[in-house]
Amino acid sequence: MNLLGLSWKNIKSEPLSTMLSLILFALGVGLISLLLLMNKQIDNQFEKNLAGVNLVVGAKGSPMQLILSSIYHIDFPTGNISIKEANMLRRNPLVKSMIPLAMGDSYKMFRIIGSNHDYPKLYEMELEEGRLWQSDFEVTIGRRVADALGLKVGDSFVSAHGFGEAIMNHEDHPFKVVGIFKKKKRVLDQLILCNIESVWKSHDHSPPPKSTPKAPEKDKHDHKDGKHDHKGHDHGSHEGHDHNHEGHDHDGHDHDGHDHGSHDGHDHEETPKPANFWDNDETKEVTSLLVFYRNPIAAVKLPRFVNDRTDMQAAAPAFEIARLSEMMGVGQQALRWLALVIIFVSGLSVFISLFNSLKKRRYELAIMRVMGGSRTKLFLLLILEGLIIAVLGYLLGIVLSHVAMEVLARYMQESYQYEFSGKVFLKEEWWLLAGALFVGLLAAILPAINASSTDISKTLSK
Amino acid sequence: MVYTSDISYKYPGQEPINFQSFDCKENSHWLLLGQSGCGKTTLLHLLAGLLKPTSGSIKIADTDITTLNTGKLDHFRGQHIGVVFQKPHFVQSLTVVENLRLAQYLAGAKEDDKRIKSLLESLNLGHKLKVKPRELSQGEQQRVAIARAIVNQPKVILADEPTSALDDANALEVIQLLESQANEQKATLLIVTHDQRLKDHFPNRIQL
Repeated sequence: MNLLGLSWKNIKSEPLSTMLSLILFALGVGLISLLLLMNKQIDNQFEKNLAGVNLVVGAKGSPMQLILSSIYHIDFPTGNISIKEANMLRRNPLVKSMIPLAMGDSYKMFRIIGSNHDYPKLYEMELEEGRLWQSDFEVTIGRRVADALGLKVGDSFVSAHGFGEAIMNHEDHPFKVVGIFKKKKRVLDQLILCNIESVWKSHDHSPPPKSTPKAPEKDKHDHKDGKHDHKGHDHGSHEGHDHNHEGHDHDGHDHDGHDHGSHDGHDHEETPKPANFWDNDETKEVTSLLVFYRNPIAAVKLPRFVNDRTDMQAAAPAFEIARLSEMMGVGQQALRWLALVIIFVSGLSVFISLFNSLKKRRYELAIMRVMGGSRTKLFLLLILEGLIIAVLGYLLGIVLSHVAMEVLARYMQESYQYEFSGKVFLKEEWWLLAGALFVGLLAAILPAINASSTDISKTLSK
Repeated sequence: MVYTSDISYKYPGQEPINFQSFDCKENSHWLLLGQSGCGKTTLLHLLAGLLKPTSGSIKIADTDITTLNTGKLDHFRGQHIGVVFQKPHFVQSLTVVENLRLAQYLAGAKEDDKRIKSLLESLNLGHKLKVKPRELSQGEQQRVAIARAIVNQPKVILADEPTSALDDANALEVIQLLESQANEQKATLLIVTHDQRLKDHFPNRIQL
C-alpha cells in the first residue's frame, strides 16, 4: 500500500466521474496532438519539396495553382509556355539555372513528368535499381509508384491523358521502366520521370503544331475534365506515326538487335534531336520552369520582369506557401481554441469531481490523519489523483490522435498523393504531456489544500 | 502510561472546559464516564492529539504530546495510539485487508500481511478479508475498526463510545474484544462512554 496505489483505487472507485474527466482530457489532448501531427507533416512536405526553388514560371493563371502543380504536383497545371519564351528567360542574367517540366499525362493516377536529370538531382534522389532515363519513353519511377502499381525495372505501361482516371490512353507509345529511385519521402517518390521529348511525342503525333500555343484557360479546363483537346492535335499524323513505329521495330531487329542504338537512330530520322534541349523547335512547349536566382536582386526584379513583360507568370513558392498556410491557419486557429477550451473543461471536470469526492471522503481523510498520515500525505494523495487522470487522459488522447492520423493518412494519401503517417511522434507531444500534467495539478491543488487542512477533531465529532 | 495534569480546553466563544488530572498505568483499563455535553469526546481528542489543550500537559509513554508539532504528532499517534470511534469510518475504495495495510503504511510500520490475517481471524473476520467495509454489518465494521486500531500494537487504545450504536450482543462482544486485545498487547485501554452496559466490566472509572 502506498499513496499512488491508494490514489489509483480511489479513482477506480468513482468510475463515472473518472471516465468523464478522462474522455474530456483525451479529446482535448487528442485534438491538439492531431493538429500538431498534421501541421508538422504538411509543413514538412511543403518545405522538403521546396528544395530551394526560387521561382516557378509557367502559363498565366493562378500563382498558387502554378506552385501546387509544378512543385507539389497536387493541382492541375495552368497551361503551357513555349520554348521561345523559356529561352528568353534562360538568357536573362538574373537566372542562374532552370529546370523545365512538361506534364499532362499520368499512369493510374501517378503523374508522368518530363524533365532533365537536374530534376532528380535537385531532390537528391538516389537510384535503388536500374538507371536514369536516357532515350525517349524510358522512365525512372519513384518508390511509391513502384510499390503502388507493382512496377519493376523492365515493365512497360501505357500512359493516359490527363491526371484523372484514364479516358484516353496513348496506346501507341508504351513507356518502359528503366530505373526505380530509393524512397526519399519527397514528391518524386510518387512521380514517373522521363525526358520532355517523350511527353511531346506521346501527345503530339506529328511535327510541332504550327498553330499558336493554346490559351492557358482552355488548357486548364481540358486537364480538369480529363478530356483530350482534339483541336490542339493533328490527327492526320496518327497513321504516319504508326507506320514509323513499325519501321522502328524492324530496324531494331535487322541491324544489330541493339535497341538503343537503333532507337536513337530512328529518332534522328523522324525529328533530329538537338544536342542542347533549349535548341529545340521554339514553338514546342513545356509546362513550367523551376528557376534559381543568380543573386538576391533577382528576387526583386525577375518576378516583375516575367509578369509584366512576358506572356508567362512567375510565382515565388515561399510566398505562395506562406499565403496558403495563412489561409489554412484560420481554421486551425479555431480548432486549437476549441481544443484548449476542451482541456479547460476537462480540468474543471477533474476539479469538480475531486471536490465532490472530498465531501464524501472527509471522514476517511480524517481517519487517515488519526492513523498517522501527515497533512503532506493527504495533500499528495489528492494531487496524485489529479495527475493520474491527467496522465491517463494524455495517453488516451495520444493514442486517439495517432490512430486518427493513421486513418486520415489513407484518405489524405489518396487525394494529395503524399504520404502521411500516424506512427510519427513529435517532441511537441512531450510539451503536451507537461501541459496535461500542469492542468491536472492545477485542478487538484485546491482540493488537495482543502484535504490537507481538514480539521480532524471537528470532522470526527460530528 | 497515560498521564494528564490540569488540562483545559476552550472552544472559541465558549467557557473553557477543565478536566481532572489522572494517571493510568500500563495495561490498565479505564472507563471515562460523564453525561453528554460534558466534554468526553473533547478529552478523547485531546488524549489522541487531535486537539491541543489550552493549558496543562498530557504525557503518553513518557512523551509530552502537547509539545509535539503537527507532523511529529501524526507520526507519534500512528505508532503509539490506536483509536476506535463511535461510528467506524473506512477508506471506502479499499477492502478490509487493504484498510489495515493502509494503517500500517500511514503509521510508518512495516506491512505485515501475516499479522493482519491472524488478527482478523482472531476477530472472526477471516472470511471477510477482501470485502469492502460498507458491505459488512455494524458489528463487523466495529470489529474491523478495532483490528485497525490495534494492528500496529499501540501502547494506548482509546475508544469513543464504541458500543453505543450496537445491540447488547454486539456491544458485549466488542467490549470483550477490546479488553482481550488490550491485555494481549499489554496496552492501556481508555473507553469514553455513557453506556451503562459497560460499567460492570471495568473497575477503574474516571467520572467527568
